[in-house]
Amino acid sequence: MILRRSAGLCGLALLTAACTTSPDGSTLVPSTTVVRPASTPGPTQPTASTAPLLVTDGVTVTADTINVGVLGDLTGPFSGQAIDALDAQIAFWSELNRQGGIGGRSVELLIADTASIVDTHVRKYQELMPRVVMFSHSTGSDQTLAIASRLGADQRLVVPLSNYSGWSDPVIGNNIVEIGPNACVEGINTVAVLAERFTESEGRPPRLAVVTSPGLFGEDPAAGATFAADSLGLDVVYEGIGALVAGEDISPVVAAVARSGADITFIATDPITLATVMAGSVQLGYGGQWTGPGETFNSRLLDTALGDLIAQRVSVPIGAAPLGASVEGMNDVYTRLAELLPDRYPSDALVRGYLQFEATRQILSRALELGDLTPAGVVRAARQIESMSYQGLAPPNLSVDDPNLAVARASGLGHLDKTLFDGQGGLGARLEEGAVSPLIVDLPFAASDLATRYDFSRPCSVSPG
Amino acid sequence: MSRHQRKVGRYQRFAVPDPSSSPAEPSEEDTSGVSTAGLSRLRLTSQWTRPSRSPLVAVLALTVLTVTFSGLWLARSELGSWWSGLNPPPDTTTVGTAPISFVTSTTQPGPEELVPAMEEALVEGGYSTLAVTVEDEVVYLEGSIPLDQLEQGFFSYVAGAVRALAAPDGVEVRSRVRLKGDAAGLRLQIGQLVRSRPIVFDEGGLELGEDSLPTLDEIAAAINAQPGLTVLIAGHTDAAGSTAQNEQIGRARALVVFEYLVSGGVAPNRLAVISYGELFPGGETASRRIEFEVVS
Repeated sequence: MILRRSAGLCGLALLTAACTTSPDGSTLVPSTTVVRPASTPGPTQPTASTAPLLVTDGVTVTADTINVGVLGDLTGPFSGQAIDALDAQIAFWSELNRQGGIGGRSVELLIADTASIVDTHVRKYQELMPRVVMFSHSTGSDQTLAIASRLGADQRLVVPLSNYSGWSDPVIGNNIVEIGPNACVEGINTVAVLAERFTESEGRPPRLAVVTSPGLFGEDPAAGATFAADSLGLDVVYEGIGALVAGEDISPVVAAVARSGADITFIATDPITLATVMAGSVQLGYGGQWTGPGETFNSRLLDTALGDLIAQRVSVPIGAAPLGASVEGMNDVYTRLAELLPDRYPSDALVRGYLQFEATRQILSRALELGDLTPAGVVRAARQIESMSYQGLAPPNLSVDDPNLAVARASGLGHLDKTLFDGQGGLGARLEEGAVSPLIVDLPFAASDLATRYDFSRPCSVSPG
Repeated sequence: MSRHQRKVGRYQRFAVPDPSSSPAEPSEEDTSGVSTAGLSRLRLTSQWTRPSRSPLVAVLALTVLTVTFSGLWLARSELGSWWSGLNPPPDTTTVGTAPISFVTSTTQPGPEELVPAMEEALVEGGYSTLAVTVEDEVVYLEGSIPLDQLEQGFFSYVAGAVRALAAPDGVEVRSRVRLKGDAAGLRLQIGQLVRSRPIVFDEGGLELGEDSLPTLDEIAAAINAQPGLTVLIAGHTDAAGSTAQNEQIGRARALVVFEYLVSGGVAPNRLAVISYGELFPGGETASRRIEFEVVS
């Protein structure tokens, strides 16, 4: 069976979440009870008798179709993750449509390639927005931030493939549906855990190097990592935040990492740049550990010459359960994925795609219940869902205006297991064969003290403009 | 106050929330780091397996639509630096696939009998750029559609193509689609080619051997058949000489292969170059080698 991990992802209790164990010993996911602040305004929820008719605008939602937009990096440095997530979304929407869709209406995805370019992202948003009731996908933090300020006036929701710490800020992310912990939380928790482990084994605190590509994808987790380092009194021996600039010579960065004497390098960049930095610095003598976002440490890197090195020296933050992890909702999701995409190789972004689908489905279903499938009705419906149910696949986010309550502060930590990616030809197995993610959970979802105390009233990092 | 707190410009750094203090202001520093590229076309490939011979069961078949379009992709092609960053490509091509499963009845005629009818139906359905071929028991659908058609509704497009295919017999069709090049398949294909005929160099040499060229031609064809995927060309060396020299030699070898593949029609923005130098020895001759990695 696919659920091979003994360690569940049910982590430290956070907010009102609590973990329990079932009589048969299986781990249960946190259950969350949320009381919405009394002052929070919201529309009156119509009952079945008061809302017999469904309101639509006839454009974004027609008699038989609900049009949902996708602003996806089908090309660009992170297209692998985006496409995997979209593959899963497309599969699950197709499945739902076969089962009757939402209220008898099929969900139609209008997909635009945003190419990892902010201007293209904005332009495609403008083109698609009038035709879609909401967006079930928007790749990237900088790209999504570029459209975030328009969403309120346009009355559109966006489910991003991004975990920018600004999404819990109502000023920035009021129409953004955040899923799981943000990158800053992951940076804080990861450095806190790795520092503790290193200190225990080596008898001294680790020296840290932090290096990233420009933009929020790199800077947000780096802000968390450096915050943790400062708080723990770690020596940051090299700080190259934003130093890995596309198209520029990054050899000075590679050399700086190699010379830094860091015990742990926190790096946030695309996988190919990661390979370049890693190979170069190791050739120059770097012998430390590595960590950084899961998007950086793409599991396909295990099938490269760097595979052994990555398996031995890399720890990866976990914001959503890896494919096949032992959590409540995974069995159902995996079974469906294996049926829908049997010939696919495992990718954790498939889980991300499922979460995006599920968030969108829950919102549209609530809007249907409320009798209003207009874009504004969908926005209202989302605000009535106080906490999405992800069945343990991701820590819960709360739909409240206070960022310090809304943000999910727990994340996990894992490592990449090359043996799970080293089948014939180094390919591993397909979903229909029970293949699972090579990302192994070492630490279930948990919040460090530092992350628990962090004030998220403002984002950890702020984009220009 | 720590070193980092003193140089704060962009980040909010404070250990314990303090109502009386406010975080540092964000800087106006540019962090976009992205570039532009256009989109132009989209190609569709489809395969359809023949109905199974089970007398009782409806038959599951599989269709793959391959969507190709121009856009942004990675490139790392510039000479002159050991560790070049990602270069915005001048143009690019990428791929996705959209498999569609069919359920049909055992009374369904075989694919060979359907092909002419399918071709006619595709034309009538507005899919005139698609062509139907049969290999073994699989029907392949290939062609091109504009990218903006994808933006008009992916399911609608796929369903329309499927309806056109299935129209002659009105078979029940269930579709499941995906936007994906087959990275694993490409990696396997290239891996098998390189294992059977390794791309190796003479000691200190930078010239491709004649016997490497057919292999590289096949690799170029394989890459072009999966235009959505970025391939990393990795240069390796033996341990003779200094580490720095070997890093340069590994990169130079990878660039020789890069240029050969580009000359063979592979878009440069779909290739990246890396040197592992002497880091991963593979035996005396095999250390001086090229490997290919698909990591995107």
